[in-house]
Amino acid sequence: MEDISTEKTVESLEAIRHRIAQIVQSLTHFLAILHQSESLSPWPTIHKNFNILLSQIHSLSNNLAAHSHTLQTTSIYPSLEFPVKEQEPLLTTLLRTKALPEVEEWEANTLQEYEASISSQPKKKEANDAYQKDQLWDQARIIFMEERENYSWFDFVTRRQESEGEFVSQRQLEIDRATEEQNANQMLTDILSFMKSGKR
Amino acid sequence: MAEEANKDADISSLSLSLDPEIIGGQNNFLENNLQQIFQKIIQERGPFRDLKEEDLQKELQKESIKDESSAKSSETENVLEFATLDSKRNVNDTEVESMDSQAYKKELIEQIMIAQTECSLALDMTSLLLSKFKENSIETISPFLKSTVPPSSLQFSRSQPPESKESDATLAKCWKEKSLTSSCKFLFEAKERLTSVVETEHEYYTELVKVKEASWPLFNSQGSNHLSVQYSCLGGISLGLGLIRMKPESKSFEVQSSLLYSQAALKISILNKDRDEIGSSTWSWPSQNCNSVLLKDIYKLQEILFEMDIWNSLLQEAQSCGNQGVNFTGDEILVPISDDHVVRITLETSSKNTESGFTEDKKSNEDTSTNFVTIKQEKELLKCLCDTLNAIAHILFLKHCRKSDRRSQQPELYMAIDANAPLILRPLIFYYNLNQESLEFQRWLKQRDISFKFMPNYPWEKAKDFLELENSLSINRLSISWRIMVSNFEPAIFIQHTPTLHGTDKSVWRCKDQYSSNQFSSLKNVCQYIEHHINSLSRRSKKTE
Repeated sequence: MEDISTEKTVESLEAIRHRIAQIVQSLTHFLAILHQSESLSPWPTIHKNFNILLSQIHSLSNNLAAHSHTLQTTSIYPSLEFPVKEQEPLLTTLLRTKALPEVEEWEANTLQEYEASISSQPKKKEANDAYQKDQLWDQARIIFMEERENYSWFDFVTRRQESEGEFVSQRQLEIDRATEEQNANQMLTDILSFMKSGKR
Repeated sequence: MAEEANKDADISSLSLSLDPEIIGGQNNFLENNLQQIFQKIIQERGPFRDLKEEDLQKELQKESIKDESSAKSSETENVLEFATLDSKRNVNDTEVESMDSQAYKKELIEQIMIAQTECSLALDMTSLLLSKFKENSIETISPFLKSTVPPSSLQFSRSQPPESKESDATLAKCWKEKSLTSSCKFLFEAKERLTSVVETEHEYYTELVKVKEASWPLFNSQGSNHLSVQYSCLGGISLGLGLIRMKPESKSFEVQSSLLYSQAALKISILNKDRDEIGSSTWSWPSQNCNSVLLKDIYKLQEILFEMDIWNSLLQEAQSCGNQGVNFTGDEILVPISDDHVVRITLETSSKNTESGFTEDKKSNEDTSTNFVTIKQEKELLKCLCDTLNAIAHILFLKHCRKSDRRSQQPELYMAIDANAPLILRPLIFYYNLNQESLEFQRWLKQRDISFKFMPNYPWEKAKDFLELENSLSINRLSISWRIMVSNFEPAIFIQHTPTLHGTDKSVWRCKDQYSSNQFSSLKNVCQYIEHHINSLSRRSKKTE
């Protein structure tokens, strides 16, 4: 049982190590790009690098979430080979679990804003919250459908033809289109036959 | 020796003492600044995995050469280091007021460096932990850590999971919500901005389409990103070029031109002998019914150009009318019409359109209501006269603009006169002199108690439309008939007067009675002939008695 859990832990750590290495490489590359020129780099370059970082961080987050239980039940400590006396600050840094002051500040500000927003707004029932969520999802779905319809082309006639009154019926149009395709295929066959044999 | 060398290398490379006693003494200070010190080291030397032992050994050799100054330089470096940290802390504490490009770049670099530091530490720890199980994980350990700590020096074991904080889920939710809200706000602002741009572009091209549909030529200006429109007055004597631009104040479009005046209108006034204005008329164009801002501007510029052209034409013609008493300067043209009155023609360029003026004598204020009515009627008549003169001037200029029409109808005149010479003042003077001559003749006949019938045949009286009126005003030769009844017993004398505006044939008077038919060149001769005729009749009557 311990061997199995050890293997799982090693696998999860290996996956995490691989992803962190990618992130470090991307950050180094991004930093080098920023230092190349005095002014800010073009936005497409920044946008591309941000997208790469986001995808890598997203992958790391998913991996951490997938192995959260394994990682939470793992404790790390130095072995006898580690020079604790000489490298105590380094050991402290490596095994640090406390966040940076900047991150703690971010968290504190976020929690304060959250508490302020809760205190300012009146309390609502869970049913009301659920109703609002459903309404929001419905609205989002409607907007998505509308936007999708704006970029979908599935008719056989143009708006101009439709406005001019040339539209007859969908079935008739399909038949006409099939006839045109058949005629085109026949014409192509005739052309190929002429090219092969020289006879009309 | 090896231990001492390693110790010296550690001290020199990190610029930080690793003695536990010293660290213990400065524990409080280091707890607060250790992270910043590591960040500083990473900033100076890059990530730990990029540090190389060879570079450190070279630095060690340099330090051994300068043993005496190493202590001072170390102290100086320490002071500078802390000063740098202090200044960096101050910079971090300072809020970035302006988010310009440089400030944004600086903040971006700082954030990336923080992220790089954290990721490097995480990578080192993870790699060192996995080095016991995976040999390839040693590759991702930084060189500094690899030289300091042996592989497989960290290990792990199973334990109870820590209690999860309530704020973890809240933080994740809040950050997601904040991110979504920020994105929504950003996208909404972008949508509003793009909508505004599209609306502006749509309005711009809609206006351009209206201008194009009105058949005005549009083209790109050289050296400019704006479109230009070419406009002209009727007939196309002069051409103007207007630049289509947006007004920054009202966000609407306009046509900018390089015309000298922003307002222009021909003004005709009548002055008395004291050079007081007793009547005036300022030309005004009828308003155009169009819903396009650009077209309104174009029509306005067209009107201004027309007025400027007609003024230039009048000045040009005034140069050749000096023998008829016309005086002109750059600002006004004076046409004498009698011993006491002068017609003044000017170009009104101010925005205020002055109404027709009337100078009343002080004595006339004391007159009765009859005189007041007379004065009012006189004022109205003078205003009407000025309006008429102004209208005729514009009509004659329109006629002048249509060169081809005039050339085709009167080819002999085209050979005789300059085709580009305007004909506005001379017809007006001609009509006035003709009228004066007729009045003089009538006055002479009345003095001698001779009955007559005046039968003018003015072609403009028969005009049915504007073109006929325009053509009739520029006819070279007129025909006026008179019927003179010298006596009740004798037949009448028929006189036909054919005045000519220009050409070889001038004013011709043809007199015809039952005995003879004569032709005279002036009114004086006609009067002499009539007197002679009357005397002959009287002598014949005496002989009969």
